[in-house]
Amino acid sequence: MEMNRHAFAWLPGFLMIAAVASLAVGLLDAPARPYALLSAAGLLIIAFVALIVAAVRGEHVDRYRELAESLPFGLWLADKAGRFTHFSDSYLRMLGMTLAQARRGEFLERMPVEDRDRFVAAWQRRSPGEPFEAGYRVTGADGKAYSVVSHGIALRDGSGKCTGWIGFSLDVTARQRAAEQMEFLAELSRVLSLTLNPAITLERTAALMVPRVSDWYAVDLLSDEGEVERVLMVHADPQQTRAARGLLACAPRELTLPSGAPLVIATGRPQVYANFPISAIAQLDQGDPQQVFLDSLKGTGIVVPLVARERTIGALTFLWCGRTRPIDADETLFAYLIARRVAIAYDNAQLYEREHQVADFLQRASLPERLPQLPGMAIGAHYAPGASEAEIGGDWYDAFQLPNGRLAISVGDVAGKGLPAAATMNSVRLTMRGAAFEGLTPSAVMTRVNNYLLNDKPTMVTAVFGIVDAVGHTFTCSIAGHPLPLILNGAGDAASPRPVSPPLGLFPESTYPEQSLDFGIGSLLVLYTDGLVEDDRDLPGAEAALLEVARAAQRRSESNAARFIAEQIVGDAPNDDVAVLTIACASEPLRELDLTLPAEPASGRLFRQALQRLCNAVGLPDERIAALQVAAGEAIMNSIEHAYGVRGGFVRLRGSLEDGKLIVEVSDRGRWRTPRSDDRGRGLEIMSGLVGDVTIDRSQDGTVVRLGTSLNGAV
Amino acid sequence: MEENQFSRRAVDGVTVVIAGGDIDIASVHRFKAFLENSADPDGAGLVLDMTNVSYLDSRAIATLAEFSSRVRVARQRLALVADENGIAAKLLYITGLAAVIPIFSGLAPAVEEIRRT
Repeated sequence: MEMNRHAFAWLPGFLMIAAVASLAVGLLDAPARPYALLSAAGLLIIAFVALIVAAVRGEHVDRYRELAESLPFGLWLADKAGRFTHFSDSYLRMLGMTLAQARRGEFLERMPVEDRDRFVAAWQRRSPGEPFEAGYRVTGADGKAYSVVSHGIALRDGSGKCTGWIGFSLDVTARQRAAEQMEFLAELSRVLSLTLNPAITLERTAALMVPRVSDWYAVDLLSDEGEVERVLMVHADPQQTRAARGLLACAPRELTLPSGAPLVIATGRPQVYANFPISAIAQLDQGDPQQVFLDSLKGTGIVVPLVARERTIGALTFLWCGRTRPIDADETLFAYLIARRVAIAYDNAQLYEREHQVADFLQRASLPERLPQLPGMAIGAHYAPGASEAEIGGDWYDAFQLPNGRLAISVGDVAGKGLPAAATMNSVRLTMRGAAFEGLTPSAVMTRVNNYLLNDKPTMVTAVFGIVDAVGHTFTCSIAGHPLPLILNGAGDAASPRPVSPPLGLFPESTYPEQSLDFGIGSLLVLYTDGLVEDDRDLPGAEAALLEVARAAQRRSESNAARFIAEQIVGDAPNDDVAVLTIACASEPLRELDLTLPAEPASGRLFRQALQRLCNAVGLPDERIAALQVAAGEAIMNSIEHAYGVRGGFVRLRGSLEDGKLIVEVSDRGRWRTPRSDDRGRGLEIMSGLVGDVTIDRSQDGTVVRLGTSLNGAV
Repeated sequence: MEENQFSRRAVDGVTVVIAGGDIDIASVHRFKAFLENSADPDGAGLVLDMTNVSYLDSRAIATLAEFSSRVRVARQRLALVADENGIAAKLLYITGLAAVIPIFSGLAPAVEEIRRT
């Protein structure tokens, strides 16, 4: 008999421990929902307890009780009316209550109201046919919040009638807290990974920390000059945050301050403060009216260093107002883990930002500062970096005038991101420029870039390179794996050049055939990178939208059609980088001309090209165009060479129709200089010989040469 | 276009320089150098075909005048080919160079002019 009793006494205890262990394992498996873990294993043990209680009774229950009391928070009993009759000593100790107090339900007052409501409702709903289960938080005698899971089951007599309830309370505080901390750290990591902007990184941590971690949260950083700067301070109560911000120190903080962040940053070791003046821990300014208020507050806090790459870069301060309970080891570890993540994310963002700034600078410096000006052509360009805070891409646009007056344009995208992509983009763009200035065709320009990439920078690049001939009204281009340019003719009909050749930088044998399309009066040419049409992943839809928006830009004669198109399609904050270049040919034939260019030799051809277009547009016969060109060319070269000497200046060319005559005026604001040699003296002779009507007006303000030629009849 | 603006070939033993495009401040020095390099010290002279020249300025005319005088000093001859209504011919007339440099509207008579010497 004695043996049997021992056996019985041993059995429930063993099962109990096994069940608690299994519960603990279950909690580990699903840390986010600990209360839901009134698992099958937990209920099984209750069933066993009830079975054993029913079977052995008497002193066996007492033996069982002894065992049960050794587990936090032990056993409870209730009568059949639902009045609690017994709580374990460990439970009462935690609450700091007598059994009488607990029986009166005073422990309910220690629960947060939502937990109490849930617990009471569950208790009232209890039914002998079902096990009882509830989880709640309760404040212990030490001021800590404990998480408790309660299981119970009805006791029955021999006839099966319910005689009362038995159950146990399980302390899941540590698990619960660990689960919450894990969840918090996961959330923190996620939030920190969303941005690579250092300021935003810190700003976003603030919203997480209060009130979940502490009442006050502050960030101090060590500046490059070695000063501790309070960069952020928030309180769970926005009003307190405002008050605190008003108190932020303007003066640099001394690293030797005896408390708070400066001390932690100087030593690299965390500091805990218990029942300490808030103003002292928080390093608030002295002498502020708010100071009195804050001085009156005492609290507990922990300041932990921010350590990244073995350097202390700052400190985080967590404060709990009015708390007297000291920081425990668990909280210290938690603060450390938070600081570790924040430090790495901030440091990373800072490193990234530096590279980003260089890449961004290079990117913007690489894009042409000024777009060439061609009379009767509106060149528009738009570049917007992606707003997803990913790295700078290698998108570019370029437009420049060739020595023969034609307009060379390119738009492209270098695979990859960041500084290397920006650098490659720049070299590709310059290679294109160099090749184009040598007079190579688009096809040959592409081949040169392909060879350059294959030999020097093995990177994939997609691009369109083309030449706009404003006189012949054509656009000739080669496309290397890039979205097709869109050309709308004057009537708004769309066309795209083909074929598309492979991207640059991949295959040595690639060729890049070119195609010419009409680019007549009223046409609009749109070149873009894929960020414009792939923003919402609906490519056909996006291309249709592009067509519509391009037509709208054409109808409205937008001065910068590229910006209009980009803003209509992707707004001012696209996900990916977007570069757009547009060339709009005026919808009216050129009737007049007013072009001012630097007084330098290269401007001569640009002036002549513009004049050619005006002459063509007004229908001047070919031989008269040539004569006018040479005559105007003499006047222009004279201004370029003689007007300004070494100072440099500008030359203006105006052309207009007056009474059936085309009048061309070349003016400068320099001093008339007598030509120094004979051959240059020929200029005047040539002008008068070629154009019937030549007047030269020299004054203090400069020189104006006026040439007139009639549109029909004799010269 | 810039690359092949000037070229030369021999027609019936006579050097023919073919110029095209714009001869202006940006290209006149190349024009001058090309003409000088094309001159054979032992030859009878050369033909300059300006049919495809679209533009030329006073500088180009000056270069032509100077070259023509050096050719003459070397007891050689220079003949021009140009469209008689074109801008090159017109400029040569205006500047009086037409009086010292013979202008032909076709290549064959210009070559013949040099060979005849």
